[in-house]
Amino acid sequence: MAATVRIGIVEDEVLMRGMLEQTLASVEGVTVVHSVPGVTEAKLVFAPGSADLALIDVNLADGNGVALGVQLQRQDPNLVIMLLSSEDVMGLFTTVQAEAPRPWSYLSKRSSFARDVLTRAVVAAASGQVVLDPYLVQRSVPRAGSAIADLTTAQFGVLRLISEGLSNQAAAERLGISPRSVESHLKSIYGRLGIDGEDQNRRVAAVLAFLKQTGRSWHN
Amino acid sequence: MAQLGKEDLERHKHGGSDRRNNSSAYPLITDANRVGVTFAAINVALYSVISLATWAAWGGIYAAPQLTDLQLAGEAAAILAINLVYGVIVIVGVFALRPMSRPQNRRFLLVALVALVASGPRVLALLAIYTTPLGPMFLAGEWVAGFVGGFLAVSAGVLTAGLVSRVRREELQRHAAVRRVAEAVEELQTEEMRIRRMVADQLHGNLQYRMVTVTAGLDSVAADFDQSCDAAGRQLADRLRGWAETLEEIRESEVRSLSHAVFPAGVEISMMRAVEAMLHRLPPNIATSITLGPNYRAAIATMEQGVVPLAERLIGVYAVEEAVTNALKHGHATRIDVHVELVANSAGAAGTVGTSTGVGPSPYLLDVTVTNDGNPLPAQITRSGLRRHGERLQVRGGDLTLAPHPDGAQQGVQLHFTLPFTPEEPLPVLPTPAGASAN
Repeated sequence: MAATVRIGIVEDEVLMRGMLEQTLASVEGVTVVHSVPGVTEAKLVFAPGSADLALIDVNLADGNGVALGVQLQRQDPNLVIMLLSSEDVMGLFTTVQAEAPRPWSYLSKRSSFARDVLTRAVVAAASGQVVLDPYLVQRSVPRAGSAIADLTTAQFGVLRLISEGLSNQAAAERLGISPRSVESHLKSIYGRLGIDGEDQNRRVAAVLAFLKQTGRSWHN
Repeated sequence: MAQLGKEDLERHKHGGSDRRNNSSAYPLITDANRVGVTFAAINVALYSVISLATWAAWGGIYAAPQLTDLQLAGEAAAILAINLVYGVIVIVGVFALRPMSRPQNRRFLLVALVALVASGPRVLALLAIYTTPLGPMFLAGEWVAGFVGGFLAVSAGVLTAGLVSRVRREELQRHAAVRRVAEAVEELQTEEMRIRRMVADQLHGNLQYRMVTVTAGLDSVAADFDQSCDAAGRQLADRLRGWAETLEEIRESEVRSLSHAVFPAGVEISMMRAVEAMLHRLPPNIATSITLGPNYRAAIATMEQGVVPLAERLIGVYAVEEAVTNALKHGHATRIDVHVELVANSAGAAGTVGTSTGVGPSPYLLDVTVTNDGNPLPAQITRSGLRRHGERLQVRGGDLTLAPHPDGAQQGVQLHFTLPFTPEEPLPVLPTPAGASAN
């Protein structure tokens, strides 16, 4: 990332907004250009081209963050949307993904308190990667009857890390295998999920498939 | 609400709008008067014809041998005409004095007075044309017969008008009662929605946020302990993380399911999103799918806000949820497929009562099927939860049915429900008639 990533924050909790502003402002290569509490203000300040990424809370005091994201992206198709939520809303935006000009990313508020997780997610999302919340991704298991349920354990492990927004290199380090092995796993994953096309698009498609075809069980 | 049938509600919808205010008395009375006048006119015609027959039988023809056939026919026609005119005068006289606006006993007094007044000229007119022998007894008899005949003929008309107007008034009162109930239900629903939103906002905004902050605080203390590098510190860190995890699970399972019960996630965006979020939250060992019919797809492609108004969306989402819960709990299903579509409301003008977008005809139906592969329906179904949803749908002109899996070879149950709604803005496509896409 040579250019600076310009971020707009839409969050109604004052403390949370302050924390996000502070954390992101301290990251090199990232500037916070907008920071507003709600839908009304967001519609005013997010002029097309004014930001690269919008970090939007799903539950805003004056409206719904998903609807706002759809609207902002309609005005500015280059805008990357990253949803922020205190609860698991992975299910909520799976269909948004199919219609969005650029796929959306999602971070839980819990994860966003960790500086490194927040930074990595924002930078990866701004560069075109789809990032799903690492904590929820680790809790995800394949949904019965889905194509992902047919992946091997190793393949599913690789797909999990890719879904967190990790590069092949980072995923290889995390798994203690070589980047070449990650690549070969990815190739099999694309094959099994029936994904073709260019590399970046395939990666995004794989993450979207992960989002759609996994679930988390909270009752135990 | 329970004792009001569906047809009551629908009739109320048709008749309701134009008979809403006080001007309703006007069409009601003219209607009753019309029936009364018609009835009285038939009686008068009958009386006139019988009177003519009596004249003939009494010997008018034979007692006038000096008349030509033409003159005889002329006299007969004149007698008929005099009786008819007399009857018309009594009818017009009575109904011009608005009997319906008088107390019941006065109405018949009015008829008697008008008949009494009009029967005098009648006898005089008959006197002028009769060629038969006349005497005082004949005149008195003719007068009394004319008066009584006119009184009975028109009284019957007035009585009928009175009955008709009473029936109509009662019908109107019933409509008004149905409307009041519908409006009260609507008001309650609006209030319910406001409270639901408020509670959900509190749960989403305050409580969950605070819990997340505490979780994050525990995480960061755990990270600090990790830095301390000694074994005891790391053990403490692990314990702290364990508590953070527990807290997170309580938030996700307990608080969230509570907040979901109050106001399902995604329901403020669209029906489909809410259903999708619901399916996504099912345990991963359950295979799920949601498909959209062509009409629904076309509608959402061009509409920013939800196609189905929020109140109907909530009812729909709760019905799907009930179906899903039943499928898992009683049917032990492993696969659930939801199909959502919009169709034209083939019930025509008959729409829904007390929708969020007003009382009136609903042009569209939300048409949803939830299919599972679970146990077949038991012979005796109690399904109290579903019955509640079914009633809720029926009150709004919808319907809910349970049937075996449509693919006969396959085990499972299919729930199908429809719900009329009026979109907040006009839909960009006109859906095909109902039935065509009932999956």
